[in-house]
Amino acid sequence: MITIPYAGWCFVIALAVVFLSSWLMGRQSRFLFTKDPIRRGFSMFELQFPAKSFDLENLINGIYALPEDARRTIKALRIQLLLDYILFIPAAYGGIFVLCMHLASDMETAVGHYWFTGLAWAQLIPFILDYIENTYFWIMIGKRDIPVPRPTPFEPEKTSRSFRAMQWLEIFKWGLPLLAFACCLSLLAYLWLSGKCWG
Amino acid sequence: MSAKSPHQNKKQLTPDDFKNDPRVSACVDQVRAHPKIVSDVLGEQGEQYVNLVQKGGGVLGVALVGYVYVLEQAGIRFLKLAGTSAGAINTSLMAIQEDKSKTKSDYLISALADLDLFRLVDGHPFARMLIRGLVQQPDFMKRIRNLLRNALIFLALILVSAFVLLGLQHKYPVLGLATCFVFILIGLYVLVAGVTGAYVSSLLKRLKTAGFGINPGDFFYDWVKAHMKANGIHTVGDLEARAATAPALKIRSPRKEPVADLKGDVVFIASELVTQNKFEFPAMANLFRTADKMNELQPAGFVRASMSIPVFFESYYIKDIPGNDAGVNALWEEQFNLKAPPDTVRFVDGGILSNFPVNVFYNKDIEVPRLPTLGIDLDDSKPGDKQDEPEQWSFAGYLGRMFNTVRFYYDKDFGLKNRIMNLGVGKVPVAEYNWLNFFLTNEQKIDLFAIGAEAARKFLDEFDWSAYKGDRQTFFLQQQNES
Repeated sequence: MITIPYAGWCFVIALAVVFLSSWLMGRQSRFLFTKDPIRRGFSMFELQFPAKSFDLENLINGIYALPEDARRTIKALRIQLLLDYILFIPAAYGGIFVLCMHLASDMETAVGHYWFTGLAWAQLIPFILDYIENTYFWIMIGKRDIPVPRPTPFEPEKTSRSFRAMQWLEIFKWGLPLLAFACCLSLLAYLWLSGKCWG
Repeated sequence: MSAKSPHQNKKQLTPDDFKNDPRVSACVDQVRAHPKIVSDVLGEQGEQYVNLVQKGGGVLGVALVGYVYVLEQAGIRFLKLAGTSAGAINTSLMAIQEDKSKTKSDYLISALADLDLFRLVDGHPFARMLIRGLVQQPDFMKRIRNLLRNALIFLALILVSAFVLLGLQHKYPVLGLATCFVFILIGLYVLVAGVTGAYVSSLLKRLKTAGFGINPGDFFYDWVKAHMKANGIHTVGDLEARAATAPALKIRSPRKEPVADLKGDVVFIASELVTQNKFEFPAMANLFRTADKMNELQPAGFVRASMSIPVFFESYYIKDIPGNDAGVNALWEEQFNLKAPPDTVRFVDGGILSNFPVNVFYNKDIEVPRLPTLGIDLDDSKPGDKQDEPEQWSFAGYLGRMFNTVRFYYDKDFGLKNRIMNLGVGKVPVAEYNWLNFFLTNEQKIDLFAIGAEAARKFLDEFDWSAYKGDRQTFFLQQQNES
């Protein structure tokens, strides 16, 4: 069992870094534009959650279809990815890890102890997946004219493998930290209201 | 519709499934057994030529194919073609084929058999699921309401449980674990609600960025484009040239008028929102490009524009209109009294202005027509629609009727002032189908096709070409006297 010294402070600092990096990334969102079918803004979430096969590729091609905006858009995306790499990812998953481990050590039952310890170590999965995803985006946004096979009207509909892989990646990347965070907050609320204050 | 059908479990329909349906075969047998005179313009093989206008109506367009099939089996061929939305789709697939003396419905049926209608709904998977639910399950909204109500009841239960357990655990410490569990349940509930809320919010944002169109319509565009390409139509010029062709024609004896002036034509109707006008394509394509750059426009785009059901499909845009070209500007001024065109125009379904454009081929200067303009009217009004007590309409019903009054009046006004044009219109009763049901089973597709075929047979039974000409002449003389 790992005991984290100054867990409370570690979590507060991580939370502050998450907020700060989110704010900085949010500022870059103002510069994201693509052509689909006319010029429109988009967010990082659209890269992460393409609704259909080749939506990601279409979105990136759309960026380069706007010569006046493309350079600024790519720069803004790269800044977002860098902030994500350096600040957001370590702080977010690290913070949840600290919170889970600390709550696990407070648990009186074995079930609770193992559940929160498991949730803490499970954060390694989204942590790695997020880095893989960001590296993939970093490579993809550097490409121009990505070939996009449009669905053939006379052949059955197909879903690309990369799209399916992306969907699974997002489920784990978002599902595990959100599950852990929700469990932690619930437990904190319980401890607070029942007088077994966390500290 | 029969409860059990041989087509029900087939994955892929074939043209024979449509043509060999007993109801369709019966119609064909009857129209062949009782040939009818419907026009005075004849082809070399004795085929009779008419102009045809097809009404829009989403998937109900399947019935249009059945109607056209039976007309062709009766020896009728088409010179000028016009349509809106689903009518424009059929019109385009007929107009792109070579040789007007040949039947066109075989190709249409083949295209219909190969087409998975659901693929036209090419939007977000969630939107597809929602549309499917709304269209196919009459109690879908009730189920959603029940789901929300149950979710609220569950939330209330776990909140009350948490409150009670939290109090009781001071006296019964053994309840601590259960209290903790309930708290985690609340957390997970909030998580699920939050994720759902964020998802719905992202979908709404996506809808906004997509110009308030749920489905991009890209599949449909590619589908029409592929059909055009397969028939050698690559440019607007190709389409116009193909549509304008006319076979060797002659006039039925004893009439003596010339027929050399009779040419083919094709018209797709689209509504434009920037300048708020009705457009007829491809004739009005020169408002958007100069002649030397006309190839930048895709003829498939005109059909895509015509079928852009608002909200259901994304709008169709034509960009970079040459506003600095004097010729283009002059056309805009002449056509719409606008000094210069906008840079970009945005089209939605022609049906919001003229869903049944029977007026496009009407020539008031003709006393006795050589050929009739036939129309296929998809009648989806239910008997109860016009009997409802107006005091009891729901807000949605009130808005719906207001919208329909506006949207139908353009065509209705023409019909009221030129009732003579209704003589060539056959009504296809399709009230039992939802025009947005892109999830039709094979059995339903064939049923719609047969309904169209039966409507065509009924129309031919009742149509009297001599009376039509007589009425047109009387109407012409009345108009002359009035003017």
